[in-house]
Amino acid sequence: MTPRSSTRTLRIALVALLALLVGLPTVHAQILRLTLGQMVERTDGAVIGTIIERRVTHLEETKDGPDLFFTTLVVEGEDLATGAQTKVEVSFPGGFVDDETGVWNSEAPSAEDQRLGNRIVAFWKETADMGGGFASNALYASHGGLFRAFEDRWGREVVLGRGEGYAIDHNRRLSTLRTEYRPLREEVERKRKEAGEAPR
Amino acid sequence: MRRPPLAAATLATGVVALALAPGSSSYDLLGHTLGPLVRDVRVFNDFEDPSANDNLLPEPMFPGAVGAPLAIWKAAVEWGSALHGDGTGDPTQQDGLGSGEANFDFSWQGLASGPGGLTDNTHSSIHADDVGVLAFAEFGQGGWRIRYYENWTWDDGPGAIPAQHYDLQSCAAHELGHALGLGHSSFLTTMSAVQSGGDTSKRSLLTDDRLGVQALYGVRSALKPRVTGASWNGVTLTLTGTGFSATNNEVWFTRATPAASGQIPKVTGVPSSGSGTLITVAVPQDAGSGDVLVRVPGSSGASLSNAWPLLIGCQPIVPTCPTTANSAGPGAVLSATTSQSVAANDLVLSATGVLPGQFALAFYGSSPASQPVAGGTLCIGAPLHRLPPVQADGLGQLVVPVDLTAPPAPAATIQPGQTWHFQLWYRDPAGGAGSDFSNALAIPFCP
Ligand SMILES: [Zn+2]
Repeated sequence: MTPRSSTRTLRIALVALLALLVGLPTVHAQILRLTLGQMVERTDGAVIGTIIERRVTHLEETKDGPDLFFTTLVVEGEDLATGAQTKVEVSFPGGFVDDETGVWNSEAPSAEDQRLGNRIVAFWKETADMGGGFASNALYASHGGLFRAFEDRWGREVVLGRGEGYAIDHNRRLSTLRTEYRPLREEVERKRKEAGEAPR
Repeated sequence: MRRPPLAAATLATGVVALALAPGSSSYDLLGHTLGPLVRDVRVFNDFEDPSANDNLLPEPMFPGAVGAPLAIWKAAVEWGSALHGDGTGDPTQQDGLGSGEANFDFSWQGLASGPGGLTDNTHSSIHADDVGVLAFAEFGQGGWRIRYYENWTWDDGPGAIPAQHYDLQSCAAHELGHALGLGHSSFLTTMSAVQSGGDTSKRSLLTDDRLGVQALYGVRSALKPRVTGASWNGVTLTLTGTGFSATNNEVWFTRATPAASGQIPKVTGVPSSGSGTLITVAVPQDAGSGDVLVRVPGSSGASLSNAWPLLIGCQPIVPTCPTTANSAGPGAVLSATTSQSVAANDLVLSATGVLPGQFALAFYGSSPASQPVAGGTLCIGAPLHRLPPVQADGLGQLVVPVDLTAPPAPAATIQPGQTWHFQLWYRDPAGGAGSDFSNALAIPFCP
């Protein structure tokens, strides 16, 4: 075991421990309680990838009042269902355009969770109006739609659960998550097709 | 809009604390506190769901508020340092409203005229498509703003709510916890929580929430001034309590009219008597019914008292009993225009939907009732006091001016502070019973 992998393993263990403890005994936000199936029904897709860009949009005057801020993360990786290469933008309310200008939002992912270079699973929903007319792919349920991923000591990618009530409640190997996610997504897409909705 | 210090939620810190001391606490501190003068809470009441504003039952401890503002006001006082008045107002909280026991109290400022900016300390709704979030709190430089997504069905209670509705009071209590500096708790408390539909349990602070607000602002100081009573005689307010300063107290009121943001109506330089137990002060022009607080010289949360309810003017008129259909349509509807002031003597009852050209009698009594009589419901208990008969016009409308100085009997004299119930009886020859009743109104009277 190299020193580097030892540090990484320790970090994974710590984060996993924290995630486990966070999961006791309930969930943590003014967001919807969702199973993975409900999350899939309410969203248009999910990506496993790396945050390669983060930017913040400031809307000064809107139909919904002044000073709305939205953070957009660009995630490059693979579609969680198909494995196809993809680059997805996901947005959530809150953020700072610079040190002086912005707002902290209670339900946004933590600063640690939205850092550039993080490996994440993000559930997104194409949204015409996230407030103030801002159109983007919403990071669905804000911080409840973002899950960190790490490699374990054997090099397998593990997605960290956030506790009961979150779409990914407990830690899962990425491969397991894909296996659970794919049929759920296919079923939703089949139903949408039957209902005559445009493919997304 | 400066980034608050340590703005990022320090979730991990809270969790480590949990790991070290299992079973103790798991509140999370966001890294900001509100300055000692930032205590105002106001509501821009743009909630669109009828269920968000259908609680019209006035609460004595929340004078002048109904609907969504009432629900949010209750959420704010639950964080307070001591019971709000006698603590009543929420049928779901047996331990009373006012559970924080910290050096922290919000100052209810009534209605806002808009959603306001990031530091205007307002609650309002926001229109957006479903993004999986119910509500959020924003924190800017020295203030906050709370928004509720309008795509959910909000409910103002006051009791249990349908499973498809989301409880405004629970959500407000949670978001106000963020506003004052708390993050998400890993215990099942106000600050935890997915709020499931129909769930009202997050209205009431639990130990973990209380420990959180105490960690931020300190456990309620023995020196913190305490208001235990407030009475207004039409001009002067008398406050009783403990810990008032001999000189230079500030008395904080609730603003009477909606404001975009702004100043808390205050009277400064107020002395006390009785060794700091009594304050008398003239109520300022811009103050209305709401809460009153006393601030003694000092710069901490311990300088500001608890919030105590204060009625200026009258409680609103309340419909107590629905009308019943008559032979001509859905029934007679009684309404009242009045300042509710006994001195002003300006009560006028009016009705629509009466049978055209038929005689009617308005009457009143001191207690409500519900008894089928003739073609409708008698909604007032005996003894009943009759006003002079009137005749409806060709459209089935009528007006009954009420002269408070000429009551029909000595026992029917209307005094300030009393609530009287009014209803209309009218002839309906084509109806099977020959007569019918309107709805009834409970009208509180003031000086
Ligand atoms: Zn929250």
